[in-house]
Amino acid sequence: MEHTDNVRTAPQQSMSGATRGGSGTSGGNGGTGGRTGDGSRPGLVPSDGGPTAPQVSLNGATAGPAAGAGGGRSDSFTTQSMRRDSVTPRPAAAPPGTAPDWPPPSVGSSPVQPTNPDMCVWCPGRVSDGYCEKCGFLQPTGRDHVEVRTRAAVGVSDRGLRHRRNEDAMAIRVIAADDARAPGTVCAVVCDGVSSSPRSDEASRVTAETGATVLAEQIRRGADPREATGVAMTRAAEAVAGIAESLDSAPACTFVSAVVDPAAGTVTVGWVGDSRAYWLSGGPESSASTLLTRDDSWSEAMVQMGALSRDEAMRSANAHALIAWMGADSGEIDAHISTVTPTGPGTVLLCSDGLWNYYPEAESLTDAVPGAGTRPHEAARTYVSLALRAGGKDNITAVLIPVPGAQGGLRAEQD
Amino acid sequence: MHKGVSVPNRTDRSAEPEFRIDVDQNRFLPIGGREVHAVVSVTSRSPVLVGSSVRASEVIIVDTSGSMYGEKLDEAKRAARAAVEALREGVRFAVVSGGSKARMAFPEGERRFAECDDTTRAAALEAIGRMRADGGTRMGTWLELAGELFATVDEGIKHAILLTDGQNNELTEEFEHALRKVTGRFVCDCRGVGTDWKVEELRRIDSALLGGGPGIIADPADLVADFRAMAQASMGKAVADVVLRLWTPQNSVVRYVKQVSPTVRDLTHRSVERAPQAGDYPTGSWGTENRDYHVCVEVPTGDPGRQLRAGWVRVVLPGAGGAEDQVLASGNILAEWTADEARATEINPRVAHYTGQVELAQAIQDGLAARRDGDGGTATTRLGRAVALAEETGNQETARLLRKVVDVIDPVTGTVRLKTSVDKVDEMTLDTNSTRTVRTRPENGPGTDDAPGPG
Repeated sequence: MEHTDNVRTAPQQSMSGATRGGSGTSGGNGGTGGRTGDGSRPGLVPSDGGPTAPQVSLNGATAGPAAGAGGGRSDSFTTQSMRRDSVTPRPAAAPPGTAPDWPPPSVGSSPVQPTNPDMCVWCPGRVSDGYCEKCGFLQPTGRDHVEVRTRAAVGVSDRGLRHRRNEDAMAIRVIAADDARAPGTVCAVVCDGVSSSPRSDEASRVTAETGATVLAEQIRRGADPREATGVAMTRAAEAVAGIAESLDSAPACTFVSAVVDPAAGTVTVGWVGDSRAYWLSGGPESSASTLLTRDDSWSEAMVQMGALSRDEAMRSANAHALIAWMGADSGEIDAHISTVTPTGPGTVLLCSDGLWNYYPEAESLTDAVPGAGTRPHEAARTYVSLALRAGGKDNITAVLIPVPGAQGGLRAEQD
Repeated sequence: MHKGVSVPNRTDRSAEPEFRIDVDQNRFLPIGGREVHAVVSVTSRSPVLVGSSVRASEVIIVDTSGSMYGEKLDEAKRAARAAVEALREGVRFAVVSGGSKARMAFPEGERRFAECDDTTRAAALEAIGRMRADGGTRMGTWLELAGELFATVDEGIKHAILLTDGQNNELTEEFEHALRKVTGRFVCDCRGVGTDWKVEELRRIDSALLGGGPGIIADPADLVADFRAMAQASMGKAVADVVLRLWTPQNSVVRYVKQVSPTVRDLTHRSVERAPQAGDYPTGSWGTENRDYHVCVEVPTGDPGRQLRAGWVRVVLPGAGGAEDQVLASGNILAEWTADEARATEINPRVAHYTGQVELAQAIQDGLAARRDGDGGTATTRLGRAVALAEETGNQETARLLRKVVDVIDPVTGTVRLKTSVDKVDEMTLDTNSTRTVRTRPENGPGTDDAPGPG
């Protein structure tokens, strides 16, 4: 798959702490990157102009990108971590063995509920003998295929065709429409278990659940989405570090979150690793489709350093090697956080590489499922279906959050 | 493949009587594939019958039209007697004498059944001796009389034997009307004696009344053994009105349901919907026996890796008068989409075999019809195709019969020459037996469900 270098408005954060808090490429940045000719079309830029402050430095130590260790498994679609020999990682704040301490979400946020086992995952039919009495499909077990449906957001996660289990996880919380502080705000997290680490399915589940719960909690308390994201990522990282038995056996996963605030019209994303957030444009009047994250991967680092072209980097055996993840062995993590204010309707897509490997470009993702925002459930299924048809080499997760864009005439904040 | 609920493709349910379903298929479909084929084998093992433990009624219909006069009627009488002698104590029975009208030969002049014991049996044998040949051949009226008799009985095995030697003199419309009236009321096995009857007519009756396939008795002297065998087989039936219930997924279409063994019978348009998303296909009565069905369902396409129950086949005894249906056996026809072309294109051997046998039957019937119509070209092509198929599917009996109608130049390519003179008996035997198939055994060992999956 061709991967032209068009990370248009990627919220520019360095891989290491080197540029942390720095280089305020503001307004002008939004216009770069070869957006399709329409000059009148509003760009999408970080609303505060500053790239990704606040940084959450979980461990305080600075780690350079890619100390080259670890490496190339033959399945280039497998997420794997690169261990950093130079840094002695320490477990994060929570001591090993301590269960993550997150309270069940209170009223107003709808926790992830696996579908009723008596009802079909695919249609409104009842299940008997393991098959749906209506559509006939064999019902998936455990996490083989999970769908989360809320009014404001939809997630579909699938084991794919090559992996034994689904090590992706997702969690969605929707703040109640009558909430005093953040009515209707959607918080969602997608995590992809690092397959070279133990119990990565557990890692992704704990991390996603903790992340989404803390996000919702913070938002309901009136925290700013960026602040909430920082806290949630810290707590999520602590939670996954907490399930490690030792540093040599540390479950790990990626993290990407989104907080969509319908009142303010902002989309705040946070990430570590190579799970992605995209803005999928809902029409010619809306902000153009774009990737909102920049992978913490070896290939991305090579491209950023100018060492390799994107094509060369993607062909490498290390293409999918991670240079940052959440886990007890992760060392210091830069939590990237970025906020954009899209104009017009569209959809925020959080996904694991099981999907974006086949559709790396924001444009191709948008074109693959037209009108994703109007029928998000169908669209999420379609994304999973497309990835399966393309080979389904990895676990696939897609969370869609439609952004109506009608409220208050959203626009890109240019400064 | 992934761990999880394993739903077997073969299911055993022990009930009384015992039925069993085996499904043979290649469940893998290419991406975008929609057509699912399976051979569904239904085996029944009836409990041993003692005395009148099974309620059964039997009507023996003997053609007594003018053309039967002489040796044929004498043999027919002997055959009817043999059938009566084979009846179990307690079975309700009657003998119908068929001419331009249907007459009760026994109980004489009364439209009712007699219960079989020494006295009634003796009386019946006497009454059969009094049958006379005269009048025409109106099979529809004979069947209607049988239908009336069976209507007086609530339940149990309802079986008729029909013997004729000539063409039906009824208008097609009347015949069809009569057939519609009696369809589903009882099971009828038909026999043609001599060569003046029409294979198509008996095949039509057989198909409507779910017989075991029409038979030709070339030599009237063979009638006795044949009738005795039919009556005995009927006495061996333990369950009547068994249906094959085929559930299919929403938005799918049943392309066909065909019995393919022991004979070819298309049941596609015989289904009745009595359960949601399911069609009940009539199969008549069952003794200890085995029948195979070729089922083809067109399903909505699914994503790779997804498994679909493309068909849920159950042997059902419909509950009469509001009683619950009794499910005697069930099995799954599955579909799973894969990008693995080799896997998706593999054809299950049993599906291939019966596809060939069904085509063979059709080729014979087409070829013989063309031959009768003087269309030598079509006859040569179709019968040649039949020769090749018989060779390919190892149907030796049919291959033998074909060689009496055509000179085979190359059996593999199906190159044949029509024989200039063909014995009528040979042609009719080939035609009559065209729907008889050679059975293949279900694959033993691991079921089709056990194929290892990717990953």
